[in-house]
Amino acid sequence: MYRRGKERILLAMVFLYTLTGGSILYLKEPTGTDGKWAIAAALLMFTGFMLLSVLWQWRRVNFDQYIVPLISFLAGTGVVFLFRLNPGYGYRQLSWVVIGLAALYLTTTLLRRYRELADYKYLVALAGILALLLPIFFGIEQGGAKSWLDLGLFHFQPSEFVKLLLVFFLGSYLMESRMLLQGGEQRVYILPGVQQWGPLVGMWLTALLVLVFQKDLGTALIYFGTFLAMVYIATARWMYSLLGALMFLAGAAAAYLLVDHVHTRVAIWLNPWATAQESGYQIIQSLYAIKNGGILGAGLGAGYPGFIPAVHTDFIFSAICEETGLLGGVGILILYMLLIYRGFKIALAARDEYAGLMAAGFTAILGLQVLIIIAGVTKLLPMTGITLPFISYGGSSMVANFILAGMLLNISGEADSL
Amino acid sequence: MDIILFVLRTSFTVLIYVFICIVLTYLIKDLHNTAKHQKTAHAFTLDDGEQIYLPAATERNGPGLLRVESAPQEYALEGLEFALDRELKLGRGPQNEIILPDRFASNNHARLYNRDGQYWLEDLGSKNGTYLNGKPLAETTVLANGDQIRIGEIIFKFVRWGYEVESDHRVRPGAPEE
Repeated sequence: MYRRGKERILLAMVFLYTLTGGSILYLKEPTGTDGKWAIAAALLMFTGFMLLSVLWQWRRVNFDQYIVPLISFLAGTGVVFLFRLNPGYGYRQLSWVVIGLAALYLTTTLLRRYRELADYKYLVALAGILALLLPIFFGIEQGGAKSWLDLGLFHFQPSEFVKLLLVFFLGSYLMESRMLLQGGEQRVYILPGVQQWGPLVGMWLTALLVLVFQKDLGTALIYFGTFLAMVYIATARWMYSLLGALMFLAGAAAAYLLVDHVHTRVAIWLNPWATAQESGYQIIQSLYAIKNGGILGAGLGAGYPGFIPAVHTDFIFSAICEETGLLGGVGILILYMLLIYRGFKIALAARDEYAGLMAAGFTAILGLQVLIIIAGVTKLLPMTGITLPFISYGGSSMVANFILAGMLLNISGEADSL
Repeated sequence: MDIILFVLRTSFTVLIYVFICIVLTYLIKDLHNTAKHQKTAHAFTLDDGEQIYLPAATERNGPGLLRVESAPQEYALEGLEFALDRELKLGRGPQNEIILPDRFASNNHARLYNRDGQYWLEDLGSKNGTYLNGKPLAETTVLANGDQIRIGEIIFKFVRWGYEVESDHRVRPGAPEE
């Protein structure tokens, strides 16, 4: 019951994979220290994740056994590619993974009684809104979006953590308001009542606030998408989702006309070749890189992904596609699919509706992030600057995603069987 | 050196798929196990119901029974009959006489007990409430033949033999005025 054998076999496989990656980087430049560190990183991450697995078995908790190997595979891919792209970022990413591991363990101990947070939902919402407002006044701008706080040692991005607060708040809020809906007779609303409009409009305004003041298109889309997904899961009324989607489209259209930043992004998406040397340069280089990779890829360390600006954060998927080819890129996508499958499985098996709703919300966040950024770098959607979960360089997003994974584990631990 | 690099680079990509294959094998095995587990679990509750309650109920020598009128397919409860006893506890917890595998049911959801020859239904402070004939149960209430009790998605019908006459004479809070 409490054995975690599968988890450890899978973690050993991940170790083999990251070790291979590290060895390639070492053999390419046997004289430098970076290659040796890439191998050490593989060993360090393996030790860290194994330690967690042993600790959980010792504590006799019944956590899901697939989440941790999957995120360790993705994080390992991220570290290997960052050591290959720019070892400076590799070292920092490695330390973020270690901090993330600590955050994951703390989440599974301190936040096991997350239900108590339901009583403080408006406090949670307030904290989230404050955290969103801070960068507007004190923030610094990076890559066109003003969503970072400068903390000296590193840049902190509050919106990554607000995602988690959003799910905490919506989980408890929707459980409460859904009871109102179900308390009466089973009437099907064509248009929801006024008290059901409030949160929809409030959430819409929050998303627009992020969009206009922080100029952060991707985060606004994630917030609103997660909100709609959770409302749909809680009420099973597609009307809300449809209305919300229409409202978001209307808001996005207004932003397109009024906000320069959004306008530029869409113009690049429609025709990057018009500004091939300026604003369209990044996406064109990304497309070149993916094309260069072909089906089998150039091989780790043999491509030229350095031409893409911001390749270590938003565009890391292009680098993966260039060096491991279509096969590698699809492999990474399958891994995300498996992670999301596990997330929804946990939601279905959850002990009660509240936990299920939360698990579904966390999973929706992950899925939306992957969809939006990968659609962005392949020019399927306008490019929006968000990170690829667990792979991209970025401390805030790494730690936030590890906490998210920890919450999924907490919820899975309460279920009778998965 | 080049040949080693080539082998390593190839295995780097291959290892992604090896990992995916192992995960998938485990997942498929898990799904088979879950299916088996659920079958045995249902057989257990079925057996439980049949062995302890059904014989008494079908012989029609007891005071009455509680029949599951409708329940989602996956609970495998529909049509089951539970004989009335001095006390029947309903809920999700294993200590109950009638275990409700419903997501809206609380651990100790409701209680059905006999006092002065009448059967009373009491909600034990459940989270999502107990519904009697479509109305939320506010306080302990006398049951009459044919009453419909809903907990979550499970609907029971209360059947009482030989007391049909009395059902019109009862006084009960929240009863529809006819």
